[in-house]
Amino acid sequence: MTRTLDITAFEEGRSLWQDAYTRLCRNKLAVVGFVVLICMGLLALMAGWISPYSYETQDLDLGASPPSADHWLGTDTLGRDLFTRILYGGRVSLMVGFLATAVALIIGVAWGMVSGYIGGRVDIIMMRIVDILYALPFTIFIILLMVVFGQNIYLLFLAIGAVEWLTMARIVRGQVISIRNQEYIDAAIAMGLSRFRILRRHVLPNILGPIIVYTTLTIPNVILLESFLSFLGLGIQPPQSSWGVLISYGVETMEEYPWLLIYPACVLSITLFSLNFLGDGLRDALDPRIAKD
Amino acid sequence: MALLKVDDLTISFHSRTGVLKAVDSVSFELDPGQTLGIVGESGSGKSVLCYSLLGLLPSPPARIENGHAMFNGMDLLALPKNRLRAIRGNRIGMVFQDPMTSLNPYLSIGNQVIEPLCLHRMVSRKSAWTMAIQALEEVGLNHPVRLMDHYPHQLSGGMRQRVMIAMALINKPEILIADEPTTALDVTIQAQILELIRKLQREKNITVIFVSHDLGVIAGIADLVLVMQQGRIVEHGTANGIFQHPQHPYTRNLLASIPAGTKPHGYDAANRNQANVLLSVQHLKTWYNDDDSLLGGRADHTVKAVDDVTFEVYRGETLGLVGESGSGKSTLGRSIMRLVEIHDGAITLNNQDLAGLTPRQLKLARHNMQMVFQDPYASLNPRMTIFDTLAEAARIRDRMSDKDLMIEVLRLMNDVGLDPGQIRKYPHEFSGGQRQRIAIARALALKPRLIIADEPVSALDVTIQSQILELLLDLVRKHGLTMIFVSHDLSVIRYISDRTAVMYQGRIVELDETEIVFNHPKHPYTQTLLSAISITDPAGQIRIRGEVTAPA
Repeated sequence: MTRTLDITAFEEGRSLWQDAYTRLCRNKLAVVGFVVLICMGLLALMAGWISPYSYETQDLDLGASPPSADHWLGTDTLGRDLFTRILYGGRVSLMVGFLATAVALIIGVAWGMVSGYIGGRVDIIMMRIVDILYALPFTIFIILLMVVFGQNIYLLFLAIGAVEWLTMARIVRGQVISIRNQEYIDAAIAMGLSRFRILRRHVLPNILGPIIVYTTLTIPNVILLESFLSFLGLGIQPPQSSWGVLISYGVETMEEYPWLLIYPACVLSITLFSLNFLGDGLRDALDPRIAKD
Repeated sequence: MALLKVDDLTISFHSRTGVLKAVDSVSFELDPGQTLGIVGESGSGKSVLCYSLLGLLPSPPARIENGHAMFNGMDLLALPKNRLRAIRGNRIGMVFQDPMTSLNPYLSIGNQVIEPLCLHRMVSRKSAWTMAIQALEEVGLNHPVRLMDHYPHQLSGGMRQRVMIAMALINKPEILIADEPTTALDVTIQAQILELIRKLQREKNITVIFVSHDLGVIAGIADLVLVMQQGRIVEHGTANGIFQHPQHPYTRNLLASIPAGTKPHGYDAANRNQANVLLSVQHLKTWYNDDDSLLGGRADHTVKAVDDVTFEVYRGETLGLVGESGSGKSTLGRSIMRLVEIHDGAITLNNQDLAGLTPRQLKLARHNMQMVFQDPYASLNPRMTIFDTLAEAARIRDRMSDKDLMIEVLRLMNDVGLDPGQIRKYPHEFSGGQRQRIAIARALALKPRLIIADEPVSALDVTIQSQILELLLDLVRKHGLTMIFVSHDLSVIRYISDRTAVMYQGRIVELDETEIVFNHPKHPYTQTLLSAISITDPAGQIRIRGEVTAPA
């Protein structure tokens, strides 16, 4: 009976990812978040074409001026156009935010999955290494990097990634331990699947939810961490800017020139909101138990 | 005059996806001293009904749409909270299903048992303590004085359930509601707890509402029986009447689903010769020690889960492995699958020694044996469709084209009676029975010689259970499979296996033809086990009662 069935009717492969994509597209808030993030990225990339000003040209006669037709978002105390500086700052902040988080994500997820899945002594040793790195004073670590390698924007990713993956590894390890006690993992082992395949097909998809949520929390963390590192001298150098730097500068002059704080903060907030909507949407879309209609 | 009169009770659950009627126009009366058994499968509304009487339903989502429950002239459903609290634990006591979670692990037994006393009666702590000791003694616990200072984790499941019963009865309630009180317990313990409830009911003339999915238990304890299905009472009558002359088709179906008697087809004992040995287990030992500290050290916490077990399984036969929780039966199954590390011994499958294999060889050897797990809700990856799950298994053995793979998956689904139209669905869209079919299909996909089924039906309702047993028998016959069937349920074992091995404390204490084990048990433990089951065997109950009351 089965053989006479029209097989083609079933042949359109519908994997978890394809399902997730369909479900994500149905979530309007997530789509809006995604579009906003893309726009932010494009604006930052094309800053040179969009704005007639340069981020470093000073106009000391103008000084700090409120928003006007010439300078849409006003100028800072050195007379530099704020809109332009936000656009250029977006390059640094978005790059740091996404790349450093990606570094943390890759190391943290891999480390946590191996540690949690293998367990026993391996787990103990791997987690003690995480503990040791946790205990390392972050500022000293940064200064050490500066002394050894000098100032370099790529060191920024390394430094941030080196800190942020620790928490990710712990979260992932905890999730993996609870998943590996499920019977479908035993069933997969009994089928003779390799460890790598079990981790990829059976463990990873089931821990994506917490990973995505933690990732969306890490990105803003990283963006703000960059301003701290820049303050220390690692990272970007004046007159370059980033959102973190603009905001911390805006805080200093908040009472006299509020627009220097408000606009960069708004841009960062909009980005983070979009990120959270997209993250929540992804999490729901990847769980077939939710939003099935 | 009726002690409790439930009249046209309707309860529904409101959620975003819609309204579900959990209890639908239920009415019954209960006189003092009667025992009412409520029986039904999961989702039949039997627990919801009991919870509503004590106002224990979470609201929202639960809503009582209609009806009354009159208890001594009070409507339990309409009482204000403070008056209901005065009844709970005082005039109506309740015992819950899981004794492992219904006691507070941070309070000593004594402090928990005196709580209802101190709450509802003006007694001093000291006299409450004395009364509590007496209550523990009444439920048959030894050394009650010492027990008062113990904590729940120091007690076994059966002891904890006795403590729960003592707590429920300490204020001499008029009604005791017991919601599946023996479901989480082993069969020998279950028999003791049932005996205890029966004895206390008789001595104290308490009215008991006893909820269970197990017809045998209900037959053993109840005077009146309600059979519930999807929130409705489908049959209502005396226990004798219902079990001897079931009127409603659903009741008949339930009774017919209880595995009774022996395997429909016999296995030819002549095939049991040395040439036909498929699996041979010699002196297998699986010990657990919870030493995973970095520097090693203490190894004094060794649990001998499987302790020197030797047996053989012949091609085409089904070996039943029966025992209570902690007997090591599941560990034995998992040891053969090499899902747990074995300590010592030899396992030979199809003339290949499994114990000495490298990981790569073991991977290949695993194609010859597959496992069906207990909980179909945990044994399927929730993020993989049925196609993905079955295709993954099918592809392990043979590389095949997409088209062949599709044909193979559809064949597997057909084999286990699943609708091919559901191929793209995820596990959560299936019922428990369907999920177990998927799990069986996954095991078959590797074309194994040996299937180890670890309690494959114990998480399922009785009607579903019988369907899955039929399916397994069918597949064994069709594919010439050899099966090790692990279960705590004696009637299931008797129904499905050719030979039965009884496990006790990590050892096989008896192994013989199923009928010999059941009819002429040699080991004292087997005898205890079998005497426990006869109490909860509806056939046995009906026979005994029938001789007294049968009209014809």
